[in-house]
Amino acid sequence: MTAAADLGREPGPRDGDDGAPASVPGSFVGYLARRPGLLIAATIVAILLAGAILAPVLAPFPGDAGSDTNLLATLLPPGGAHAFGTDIAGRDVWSRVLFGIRISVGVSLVVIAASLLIGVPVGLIAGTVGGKTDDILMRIVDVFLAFPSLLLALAITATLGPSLEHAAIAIAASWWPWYARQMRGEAAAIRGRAYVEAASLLGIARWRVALRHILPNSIGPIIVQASLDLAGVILTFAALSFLGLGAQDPTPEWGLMVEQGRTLTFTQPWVALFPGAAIMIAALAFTLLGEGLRERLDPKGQTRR
Amino acid sequence: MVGIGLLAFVIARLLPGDPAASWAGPRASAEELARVRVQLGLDRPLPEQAVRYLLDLVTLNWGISIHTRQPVLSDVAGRFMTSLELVTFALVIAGLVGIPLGVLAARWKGRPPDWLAGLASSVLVAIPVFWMALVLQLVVSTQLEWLPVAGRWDRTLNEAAQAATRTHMVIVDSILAGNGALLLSGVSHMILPALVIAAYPIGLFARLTRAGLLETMGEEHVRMARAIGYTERAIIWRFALRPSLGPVLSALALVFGFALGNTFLVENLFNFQGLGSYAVDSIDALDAPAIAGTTILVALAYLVANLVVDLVRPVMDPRLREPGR
Repeated sequence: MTAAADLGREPGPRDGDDGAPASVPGSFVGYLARRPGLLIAATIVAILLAGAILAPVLAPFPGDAGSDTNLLATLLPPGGAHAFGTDIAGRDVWSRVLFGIRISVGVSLVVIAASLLIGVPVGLIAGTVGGKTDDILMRIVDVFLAFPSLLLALAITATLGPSLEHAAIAIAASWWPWYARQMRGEAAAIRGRAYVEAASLLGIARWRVALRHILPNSIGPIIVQASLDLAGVILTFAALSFLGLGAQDPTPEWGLMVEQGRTLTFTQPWVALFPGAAIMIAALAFTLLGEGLRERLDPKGQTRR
Repeated sequence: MVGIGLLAFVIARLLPGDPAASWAGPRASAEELARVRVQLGLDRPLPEQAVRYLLDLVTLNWGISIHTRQPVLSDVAGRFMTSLELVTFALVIAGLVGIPLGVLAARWKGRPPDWLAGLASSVLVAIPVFWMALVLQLVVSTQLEWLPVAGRWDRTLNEAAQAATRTHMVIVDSILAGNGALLLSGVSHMILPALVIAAYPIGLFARLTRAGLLETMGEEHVRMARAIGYTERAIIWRFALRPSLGPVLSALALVFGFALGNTFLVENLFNFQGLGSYAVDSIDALDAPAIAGTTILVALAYLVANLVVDLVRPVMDPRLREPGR
């Protein structure tokens, strides 16, 4: 998914027709105003973050996101005290969706950070050192990339046993090779530049050149890619939980909530519909935001590989 | 290849639980367990087991599935064909919808059709497939009653379908058997799951086509055609589109792998007996040989897809042919 999302990248600079020359510095607000899609995405992301922080205040039944059950109020349709209805254990779906932001988006952020922390150093070493080290590291990366990422995550979670932590580990394990490969490409491209060679000739240690010159000059596109990948990780995490391999009840994870409402789709559809819509809205917002970031920070549309 | 095999071995051996115990069943005696362990080669040192495992893979001895008690290879081969048909059907839909959507967006660049197509493709990329499946079942099958909810064909055709089974692809099988009713039923049962699997490829193809087309439209040969006086429509469809589809073709292998992965999420919802539902059942049953076999098969299919795409690209795009050939 990582690379697929990447392939949609524009081949060159956006033409001026949408009226936002990327060279205008500073006025990010004005930039946003000229791009309604990006503005909406940024607003949704801001609302998601606020919702995650304020969930205990905003949720009418905060206990329902934990182990509370209310067997006298099961499967109530939306309306009244329960804007999104209640699930089979009588829990308020709206409260659970709200607290779900912390799990679904929060865990995905951690997974992306972990993938970067593994992939970037590996790619940096491979791209800077070159030679045999490069060959071996990239061979390992290729083995991981030989599997579609969802399937690799699935196989790893099945191996480790179902739990939220294992699902997170599995997704990070299937995601880091993309960053390793991208970082290696960026590093190898920069290594030949004059200022890097000059630094080497001055006798500066190789690791120092890597950290001080190569890393800062190549990390930009990788951060942009990571923000785009967030949507993919949210979807993958929800998918693993949906298959019963990720978060476990009573954790208010969106994919798990869809699974719990699955058999009720034709009778009490609200149980599955609202958390699923939340997944889609979050993934959509992060995709649009990532694309906007890419256009702004990486207007050259540098190719990844 | 060896790497893929080793990774599969690690997955198979690290699965929680004792493979011998899950093979022999819960009531097995200690002696029985020991016998099964020797029989499965689990008493040997791990490196030897790994080598044996790789040799078995090459000699097509993929072990016996614990939950179906059938050889894994024959299990997954048939199921794979079923899923392959579904994924192919989905990718055809994706091409037929996604590419025109991208053309539309490029033709009206910066205008409302472009925004709408862009929004549609973003939504399709962001939608969780398992949720989309439920929504379609609810709306299209239950409310509108346009298409069947689940299954691969109508129940009344079960016997005919059994008799027709050759390739495990219901469309191919029904045509081979000359059974029109089965063909119709098979296609109508495949539309919903295929649409769900096609969602992501449609969005991706639309974006790639738009980007590629916009790039091509600035090139010499297109400007030449415009100068000669061809209509914009003729320029797009006759001259500009084909060289613009390179990125779509390059993405095809990746999309294929992704779609195959999504069968894992979708097939059980539609009671569609393909590789995806087999894999999920195997995971539920902690069926190590079956999980390893499925993993390897998918990796192989993904590899072959990548090779095929690399071979086909120069045929489709003369610019990629090596000079002097």
